[in-house]
Amino acid sequence: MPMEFVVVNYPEVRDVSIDGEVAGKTNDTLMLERGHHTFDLGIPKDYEPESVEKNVQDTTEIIPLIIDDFHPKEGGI
Amino acid sequence: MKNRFQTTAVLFFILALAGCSYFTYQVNPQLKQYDPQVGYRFENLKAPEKTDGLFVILTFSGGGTRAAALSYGVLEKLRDTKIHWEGQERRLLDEVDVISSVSGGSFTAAYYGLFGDELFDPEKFRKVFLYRNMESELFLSMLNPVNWVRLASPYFGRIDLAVEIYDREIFREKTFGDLTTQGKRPFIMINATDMTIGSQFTFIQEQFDLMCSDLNGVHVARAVAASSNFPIAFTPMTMNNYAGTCGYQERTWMAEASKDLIDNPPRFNRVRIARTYKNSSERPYIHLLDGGVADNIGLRAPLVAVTSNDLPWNLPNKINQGKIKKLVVIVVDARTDPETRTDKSACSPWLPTIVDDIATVPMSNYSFETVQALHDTFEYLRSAARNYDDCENILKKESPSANMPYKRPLHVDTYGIYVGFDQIKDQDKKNHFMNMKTSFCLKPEEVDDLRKIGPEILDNSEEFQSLLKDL
Repeated sequence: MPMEFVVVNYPEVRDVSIDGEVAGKTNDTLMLERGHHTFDLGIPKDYEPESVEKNVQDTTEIIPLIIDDFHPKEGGI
Repeated sequence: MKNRFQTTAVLFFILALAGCSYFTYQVNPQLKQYDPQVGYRFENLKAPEKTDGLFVILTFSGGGTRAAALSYGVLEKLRDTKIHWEGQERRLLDEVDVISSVSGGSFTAAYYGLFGDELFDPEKFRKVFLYRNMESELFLSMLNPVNWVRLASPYFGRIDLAVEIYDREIFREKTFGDLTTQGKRPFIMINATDMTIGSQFTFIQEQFDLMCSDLNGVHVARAVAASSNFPIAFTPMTMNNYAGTCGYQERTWMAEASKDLIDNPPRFNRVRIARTYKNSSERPYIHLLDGGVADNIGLRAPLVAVTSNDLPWNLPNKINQGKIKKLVVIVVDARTDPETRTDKSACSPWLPTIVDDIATVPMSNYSFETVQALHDTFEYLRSAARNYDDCENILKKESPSANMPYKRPLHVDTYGIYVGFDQIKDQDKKNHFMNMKTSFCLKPEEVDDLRKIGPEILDNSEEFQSLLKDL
């Protein structure tokens, strides 16, 4: 069963949750199952958007899906 | 005349009792309030003496006492195998995190989960199950006139008689609440089959959450009986479905997976099946059959944990976080290939032969694909790491100052080990095991042979030897 790969970019190291479960850290290459998933950075909620949904497919360990959506809220970090 | 009247009155009374559900199955209790932190779940079982670094999963197949004895021999081998891990000498057995079992294999798995090393005491499991003629005891209980009355009830079947015997004679009336209270690994996943939808039904709280039922109140014997509930020989086991009464909330993955019909059909199917339990007006009762009908080697659930992030104890998330360094899956498969007379005659086979073949033969073929899926997944993980390294090497050669744009995914060493009679090289010996019957009564010497052959196959397994070399 082929797996998929994502990198969630963020200016600092934070937990990355996939579908509500902690799955790794920001800026690391994370392995996951193909399909639709919700990503967020957990607590504190000092970032925007609160979560993003992606359909992850046709990635490889060399060319993962890059999630660039998250950024600190005004006044954060 | 008076006597005849009295007899008729007594009979009428008994039938009335039977008909009005006086005799009924052990009802699985209702869950008062859904709480994803409570109950028999992997996350609630601690392993203070170990880490997840070496993560070991065992799967035990069906096959009556043959399967129970083969898996017993494998556990004996793991008990006797010393390894060095994280600076300490340990038994490989103590590193087992999960046992997923079906049918006959569920007896060994459940007993080990409940009683640990007591399993190996000659006076315990061997006496109460492995070397016992359980089949005749089940049969004799059906001949008891008291049980005829009970069996006349539509709410009490032959499987419920089996539950009582297993509960009293083998599992000492222990419940999943006892397993939860023990709070230690391995996590025992006893698998049955949901008769209506043909899918795996695992006795873990996550499954029972969907039905708003409290698994802690269910006797382990009931799970084992459901798991080994061979069609026709026993009646389907009934579970009550209280869905919608406990404030259950779907996990996030379920809404996401429901969009994956095209992109990932197996994931879509998992959520489709899960949601059938949530409709208690459509399915107020669930009927269970032998786990072997859906998956006779117990590997499907662990395979989902290896390839998907959806289960709370999923392995991709643990690998991503660097928690798992080595992942070992040992599949213990007591599949046989008995000589058959069916194709030597033009006559139509008997009904029992037809039922037996329908219930076991297609699934045995399917088991090969399940094992292959595990090997493919492991090979994929290995090649993913190789590809990254190869790419990085080429980049460094062509442009020494350049770096890979993204970090290397964390790597895990994988070991997929299969223990089955197909691996026996000596043909006579192989025939001996391949023709062993599926029953709850084997000759003592057959049980002895089964206990010996598991360790022998492991000793001859290149993958197992490679694991030992790396530890």
